[in-house]
Amino acid sequence: MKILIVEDEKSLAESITAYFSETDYLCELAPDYESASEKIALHEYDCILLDITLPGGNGLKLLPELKRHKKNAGVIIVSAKNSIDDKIKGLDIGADDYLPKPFHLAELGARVNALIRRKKFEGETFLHIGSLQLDIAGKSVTILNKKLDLTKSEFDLLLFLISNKNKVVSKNAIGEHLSGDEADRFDNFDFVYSHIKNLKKKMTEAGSTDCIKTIYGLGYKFEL
Amino acid sequence: MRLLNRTLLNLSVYSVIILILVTPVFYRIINRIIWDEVDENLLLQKNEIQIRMNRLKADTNLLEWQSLDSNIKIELASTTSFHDSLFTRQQYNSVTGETAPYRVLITSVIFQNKPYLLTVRVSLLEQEDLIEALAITQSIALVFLLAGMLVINWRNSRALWKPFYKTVDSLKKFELEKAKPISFAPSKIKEFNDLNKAIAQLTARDHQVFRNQKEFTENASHEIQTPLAIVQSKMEMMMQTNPSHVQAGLMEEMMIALTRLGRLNKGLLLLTKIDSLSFLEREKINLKEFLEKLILVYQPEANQKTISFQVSLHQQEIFFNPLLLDILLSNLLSNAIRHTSPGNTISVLLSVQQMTISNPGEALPFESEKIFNRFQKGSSKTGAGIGLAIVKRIAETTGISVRYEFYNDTHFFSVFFEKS
Repeated sequence: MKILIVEDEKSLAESITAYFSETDYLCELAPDYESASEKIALHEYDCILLDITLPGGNGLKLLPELKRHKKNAGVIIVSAKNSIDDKIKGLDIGADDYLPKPFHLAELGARVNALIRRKKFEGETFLHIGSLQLDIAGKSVTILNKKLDLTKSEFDLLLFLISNKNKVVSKNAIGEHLSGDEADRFDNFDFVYSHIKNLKKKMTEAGSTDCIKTIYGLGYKFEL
Repeated sequence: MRLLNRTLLNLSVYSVIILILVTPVFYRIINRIIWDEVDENLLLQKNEIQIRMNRLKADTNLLEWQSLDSNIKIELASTTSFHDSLFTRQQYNSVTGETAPYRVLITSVIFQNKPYLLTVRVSLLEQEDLIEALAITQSIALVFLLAGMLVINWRNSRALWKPFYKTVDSLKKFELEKAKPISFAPSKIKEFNDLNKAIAQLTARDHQVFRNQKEFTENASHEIQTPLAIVQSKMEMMMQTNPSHVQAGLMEEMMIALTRLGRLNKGLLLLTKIDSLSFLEREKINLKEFLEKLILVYQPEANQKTISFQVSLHQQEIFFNPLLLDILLSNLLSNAIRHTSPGNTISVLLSVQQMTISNPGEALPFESEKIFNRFQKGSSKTGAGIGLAIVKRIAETTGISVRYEFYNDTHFFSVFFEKS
């Protein structure tokens, strides 16, 4: 699956590319408006990460171009301008998501996953991984045909970790993901710990291997 | 003292002094003029009597004349070497039967080569009445003149100073944050026009400086977002490299600092945006329900710190922008949670028009007025030091008031909403 990263900050684009490199995603880079416009016209992408302030033009103008070329790529606007106006405008003219800078790569990973799932596998909302089966629409998990009784937070946590499997995901990234718009309200994300503890307990009780590893000082990692 | 009264006071003091000084002087001058007149008259009368006497033939005629005119007395004198003498004296008036002041001339006349002593007198009664009348008329005129001057001056000054008071008024209403710089209607007085022009220039300049500063903060905050995003992404990449425990510990602390920096930056951006946000539409909000929901959001964090809420809310509706209200109350609540020690209770009270959030704690190490200042922090707690500044800014732009008090080892933050 191909991702186009439209971002003039080379360093940031490299981080994103590196983060996705070990997954099934292939990243391409467009550092300015012109190259982005060209790439959009010539190639097919599953997902486009779009910065708004670009050398050569406003990134938002690429959205109508996508439409004109009848491309079906999902678009996530990644912007330093965390302005409500841009967000509304972007989503209005065809973007699928909006992620303000600075963001966690894990959050980006989860969003890209979710977007591609929505765009590519329409209707199919089941995710199989190891002995786990996730019903994303129904927000339920079955292990070895046994349904797990998870809270919404626990389900979101599991999906977030799976979306970033084999990656260390920081406690902050999880905390912010789980609290969503409320993230800024909290001084710390200590509550993540108890969610992880409960989730791990429920999973091992259901007979799953312990696939969530605690990485000292850093966070957690979903690993099969 | 008002400027108007000050100028009038000077004028009135001067007027009263002049009135007091001039009245006796004026009386004396009139007196003098009239007395001179009387004396001159008496001397003329003497000459006339002399001429008339020359026409008489006998002494007996003299006696007859005297009996007709009570103001003339002619007596035979021993000598002619007699100087005229003029004086005022109380004398009996046979007509009115009263003593009255008279001006008397005693002089010598010659009748049939014999010296006679002539005494002519004029009643001063009418003259005194005249003087009195003149003095009174004059004084009244003077009083009217001065009073008129004062009134006219007062009215003129008031009209004259009107643009000045208008200027002061609009200066009082001037708010740096508001979009409009001050402007004045042109006045006919050059000085006021100059003043208004100077003020307009000054406020326009202030306005520009304020806007520049705001823009700077906004731009700087925006520009900081990108490097922050880079650092954060690199940190996350570093996390994937199997760091040692020591490295992991360092990275954790870096992540915490990074999160704080990100929040601080967001807070600064918000601070610059509140002015434009305050123009957002207001709507009727059930404050009780709003607070209940918000407290629910903060419940997990409070539980984490074993802090409990004591909530007493009355049904209350306000007219406010929900986004701003959320920011305002969230900041107050998270501030309370942050500065409450574990095991204590935060109380949230909502009565008519007033909401109070209070939490026990130690007194501030700085003056309480500074609590709403940016980056004024009492302890090394995790706050960015900008939440209460945002609260104050929201209060200022929306016209509600926020008050901080400390007593009984408890911090009280009260918000006073206007009636909906």
